[in-house]
Amino acid sequence: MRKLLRSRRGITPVLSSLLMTVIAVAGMSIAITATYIITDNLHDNMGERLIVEDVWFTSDQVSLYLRNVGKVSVNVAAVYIDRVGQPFTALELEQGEHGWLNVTCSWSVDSVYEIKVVTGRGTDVVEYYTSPS
Amino acid sequence: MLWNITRRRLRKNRRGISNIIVVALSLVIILAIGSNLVLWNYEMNQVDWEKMKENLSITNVENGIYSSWLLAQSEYTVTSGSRTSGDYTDTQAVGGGYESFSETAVGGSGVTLIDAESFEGVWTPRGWIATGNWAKENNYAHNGTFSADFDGEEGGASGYLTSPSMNCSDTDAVYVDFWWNDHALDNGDFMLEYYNGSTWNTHQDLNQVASGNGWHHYTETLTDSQYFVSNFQIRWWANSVWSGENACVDVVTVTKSAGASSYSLDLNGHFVIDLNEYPLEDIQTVEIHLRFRTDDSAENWYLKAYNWITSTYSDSGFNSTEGKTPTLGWDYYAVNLTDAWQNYVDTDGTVNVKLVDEGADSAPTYVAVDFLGVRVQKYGTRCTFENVGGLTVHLVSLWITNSTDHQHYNINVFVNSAETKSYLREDIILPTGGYTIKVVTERGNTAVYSGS
Repeated sequence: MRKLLRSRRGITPVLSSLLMTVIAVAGMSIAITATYIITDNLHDNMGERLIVEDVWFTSDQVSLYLRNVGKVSVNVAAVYIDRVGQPFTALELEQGEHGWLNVTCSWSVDSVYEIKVVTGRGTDVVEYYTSPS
Repeated sequence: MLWNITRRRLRKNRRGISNIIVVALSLVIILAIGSNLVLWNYEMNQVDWEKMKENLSITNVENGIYSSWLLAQSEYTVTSGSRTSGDYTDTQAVGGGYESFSETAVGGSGVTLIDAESFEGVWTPRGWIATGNWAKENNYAHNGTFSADFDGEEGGASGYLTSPSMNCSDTDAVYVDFWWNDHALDNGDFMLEYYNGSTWNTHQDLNQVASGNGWHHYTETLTDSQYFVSNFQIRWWANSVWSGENACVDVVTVTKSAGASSYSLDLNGHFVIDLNEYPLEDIQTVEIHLRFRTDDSAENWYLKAYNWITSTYSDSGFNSTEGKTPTLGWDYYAVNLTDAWQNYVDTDGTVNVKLVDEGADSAPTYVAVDFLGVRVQKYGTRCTFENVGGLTVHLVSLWITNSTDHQHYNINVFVNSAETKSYLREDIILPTGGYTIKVVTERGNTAVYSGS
């Protein structure tokens, strides 16, 4: 201590070492957090699986029965019929859950429609369906 | 050597250690990210791979659930024809033994001895004798206004209603036909007796032939030669009938064959549906199945059932009323009572079934009955799933759709690899007309079956 008090130059290496340690710890924390966020999003994207069990054309409405067969919850973000976005009732399905997705739109009898369901993470399920005659 | 040089350099330049640590940590992070993603990707690929390996199909869909066979529990009543071998137990299972019958001569088209006596005129009718409480009354009548009526009394009353004497010495078949009314009668209360010229024989306890209040139709072709006498008689014996009980007879017809020129077979079986197991409200329809063989392919054979509304044997409302033309081998013949089944099932579950030929003909046909049974079809649906894939499938969703309705049912069925499984749902009723059945597995595969 006496040596340090006598030689003021001795404190500089200590401070610089402490500063470097703090910077290194902060850097690592940022890197680990970024890693967690990146992998978690990739996890969720890769774990999404959604199937359409049934499509029912009713009066001014097309109802799709969806089942979440993936490993993460699914939130329906958009529905396109023949590449045109359609209004629909909000639907969020936890893992293994299933339910009706009601899409409000008019349709013609005996016609083929391309119906695409897009999730919040960007996964889409697209298929062609024929309306009843 | 190289390591010594590196150590010396590091001692001289300490900043090199920091660079190595940074690079190493970066590599660790990259490795963590990479391995995490690879493992997750592997797991999802596994999911997709398992989904691809599933192979499920719906091989059959049955509308309605069948009961086990309801079988004859007592001997068949042969009202025309005769039993030649076996007994009713031989008709309880396909294969093994069988019960055989032969057509016998009928006299329905011969000489009329008593012509539909309905007791409408003077009591007693000419040639008839009544003892005890037998009287002409109008409180019960199957035809016209009156019938011959025996009222019971305290302590029990007895009496005979005896037909006129009939000359049957020149025939080989006597046809007896009448209606009788049961009002609270017990077994042994009301007998049918025949006179063979010397003694009266008790021929039937009528309450055991057909029970239950109301009118019952009795028909019989009498081929027992002891009754082919010049003074053949019939009598009805009311035996110890108590107050509140009574028996009636109406529309009595007796004819005799003019000669052995026409042959017929008519046999009746008694079957009972267990209403505890199959309540009437759960019954969709009733089926009758027969396996039989004849030696004559020239005439059709018919299955009929007793209609409790019209009090006659009939096949009205059956899915098929055309009968079955024998092939001379073992033939299967089945009829479905469709929506009319309620007319043919009594409130206690009794179904009386008749096997009868097309009509009297000149050939005395031999008939062997291997199986005769009744079964109930309940409401419900049975699906058969076949898993030909390599993995067990878990079925989670069942759809029944047609042009107007899409019905969804949650199910929980596991079908092992290479297994066929039958799935029964009593609450599912298939729609009429065309329909599609779809089943969805937990992994997201679908199997479809179309029916109508």
